[in-house]
Order: sequence, then C-alpha cells, then structure tokens
Amino acid sequence: MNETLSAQMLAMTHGLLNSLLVSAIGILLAVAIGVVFGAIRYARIPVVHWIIGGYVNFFRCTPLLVQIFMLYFALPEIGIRLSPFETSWLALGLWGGAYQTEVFRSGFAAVSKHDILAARALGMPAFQTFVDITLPIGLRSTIQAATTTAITQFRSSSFMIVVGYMELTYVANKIVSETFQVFEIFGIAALMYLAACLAISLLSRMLERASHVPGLGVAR
Amino acid sequence: MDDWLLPVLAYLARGTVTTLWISVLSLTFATVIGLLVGSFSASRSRIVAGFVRVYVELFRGVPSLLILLYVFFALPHIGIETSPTTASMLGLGLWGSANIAEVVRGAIGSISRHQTIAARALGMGATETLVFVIFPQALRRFLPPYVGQLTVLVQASTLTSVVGVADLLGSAKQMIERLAYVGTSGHAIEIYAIVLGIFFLTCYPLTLLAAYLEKRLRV
Repeated sequence: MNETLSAQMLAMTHGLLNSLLVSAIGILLAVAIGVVFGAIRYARIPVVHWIIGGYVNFFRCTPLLVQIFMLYFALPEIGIRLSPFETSWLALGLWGGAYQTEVFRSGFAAVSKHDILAARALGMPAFQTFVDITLPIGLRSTIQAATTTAITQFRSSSFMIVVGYMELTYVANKIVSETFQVFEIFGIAALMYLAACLAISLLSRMLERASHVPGLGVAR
Repeated sequence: MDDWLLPVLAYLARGTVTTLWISVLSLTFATVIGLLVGSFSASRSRIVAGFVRVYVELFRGVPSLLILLYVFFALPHIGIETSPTTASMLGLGLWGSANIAEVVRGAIGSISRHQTIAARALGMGATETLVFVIFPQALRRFLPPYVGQLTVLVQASTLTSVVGVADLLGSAKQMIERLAYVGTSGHAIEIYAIVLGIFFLTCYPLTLLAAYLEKRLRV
C-alpha cells in the first residue's frame, strides 16, 4: 500500500467516525423525541397532539437538505449561530424525530387492547398502565422500524457536506476533486457506509434478542 | 410589498420548474428500471433473485448523495460529457430505481405462494401465472408505497443543488447570496420558508394520497 493511499484511508476513516458521531447524537435525539411525542400522539392529549402532528407532517414533507440550509444559513439572520457540528446532529435529530414519532405511535397502538384492559381492571391508573404495560411491550415491537429510521438518518449524515462538516462524503468528495480517483475513493466510501449500516442493523438485532421476553412473540 | 420579493419569486418559479423536470425525468427512469429489476424477484432462479437483492441492498445501503456524486464525477472520467443536470438525474434515477425495485419485491413477495401453486395446478404457464394472477394482486400492494416513493424522490431532487444545478433550492441559494451582496440582508429566512412551503404543498397531498390508497386498496 503506498503512502498516499494510507493517508487517504486514514482521512476517510476519520470522516466515517465523524459521520457516526453526529448520527449517534441525532439518532438518540430522534428516539427521545419519538418516544415522548409518539406517546402523546398515542394518548391523543388534546391540542398538544395536533401540534405534534403538524411537526411530524412538516418535517416529513419537506426535504432534509432545505431544513439544513434553514438551520445553518438562515438562522444567523435572527442571531442564532450554529456550528457545522451542531447543525448536523440537530438537523438529523429533528428530522428523524418526526419519523420516529410515527414509528413509536403505531408501536404503542399495536399493543393488545386486552393487556391494557386487564391492567385497568386490576386497578392500575391510565398513566401507570402506559408506563408498565404499553411502553415495555410497545418499545420491544418497534425496534426494527426504529432501526430503519436510524439507518436512514446515518445515510443522510452525508448531506452535512453542504455545511462543511467533515463527514465521510465530505472527505471523499474532497479527495476526489483533488486526485480524480473517482472509482477507488467513492468505492471505498460506499463500502464504509455499507459496513456501518450492517453494523447498526446487527446491533439492533442484538438489542432485539437481549430484550426478548419469552412468550411475547416479538423477537424472531 | 418589499421590492426584493417579486424578482425573487420569479427566480424561484424558474427553480420550481427545474425541480419538477428533474423529479419527473428521474422518476420515469427510476420507475422503468425499478419495475424491471423488481419483477425479476419473481424468478425461481436463485441467481436472478440474488441479483435483485444485491442491486437493492447496494444502492439503498449507500447515501443517495454519494451515488449522485459518484455518477457526476465518474461520467466525465469514462469520457461521457454531460451537464450537471443530466448527471444528477441519472444518479437520482439509479438510487430511486433500487427503492422502487424494493417496493416491487415486497409487493410480489407479499402474495401467497398458494396463489402460484393454485394457478399452476389449473394448468396456467409460469408467465401466465405471473401476468394474470400475481401481478394484478401485487399492483394493489405496490401503489401506496410507490406514491410514498414519489415524495421521497421529489425531496431528493434538492440534492442536485450540491453539484450546482439551479433547482428550487439552488436558485434560492443564489438569490440569497446576491441579495446579501447588494443589500444588508439576504432574506434567507423568508426565502427558505417559501422553498419549504412549496415542497410541503407538493409532498403533503401525495402523502395523503398514499394513505388513502393504502386504505382503499387493502386486499
């Protein structure tokens, strides 16, 4: 392996780690938003659930790239200056949060009505029923769908090239425009993305197994 | 009304037309290739079905932007000179075709094997079974997610602005830079809000349509 190539590989590995870093923060933020907002949507808490519905529709029906531009290039006009790093995880988190809200809402809605009725009949208040019955069962069944959103968020971290955050696509694009090694560099970048996506889905598979409750019929 | 608004709107209208063009063309490309590749998944040959899987996983596992940049830089490298618009439409179309192939694969896979067995038992040939039994049923499962893919591709068309195409987002960016250069403010908030509004008004009805179709076409 010649020296240039190893230097390029090093730079790209660094880019991949940066992609993973903003994605990890964005994914956690989105899951947090999704669980809370999804629960509110599921419980149909008056007024708030309409507002959250508006948030979900707005973020899902507008391009992530325009949202990034809004955060990074427009907000400074009203005095809010975000660094490329802050923009990256915030944009991914807000955007993914809209998708996760729907994922968790339908996950909670899929919990058997009989389980909830049984808990209520035993005298559990509505909130406790949600925390002790709906939440643990619902969360287990949403792992797969939530992972799909998380992987999409990770792939979309490549959009952060437009704010100059040094993620994998930014680094690869920079090397290609300097050296014109289109096939090698973009090929390696593509393999890195594929490997990372595979790792994320393996992690989620492990989580699914570890949280499996015998008889609940969630894990395969 | 502020004097900056009218020229900006006129310029954005041009960008909107470009975005529409790019969306329609890349969508057509994606649909043709996606239907073709996706319907191969009905094949009994493991090699053919395996090819569909690899095609889908490969293009869907990699960020759309990376595919777009790949095509954008690779085409001139192998001696094909095209405009950024054509190159990015090709990139978007390739990525979209994998998404649509996956929708087709899911739709065909959702039809029970018993349908095939029953049709074959009645003496229908393999092709007949596909055309008259499997595809009509799969179409009902295909349409709702396909309409969902329309919104995905319309939104993805903004990626072309990264390689310098003056689509809706690209022309908004240029306008803001120009306004900031000649005046005190680029009016970025207002202009991006208009862009977000245009996309919302395009994509929201499509998601409603997808939801309606899903309810209506439930098998």
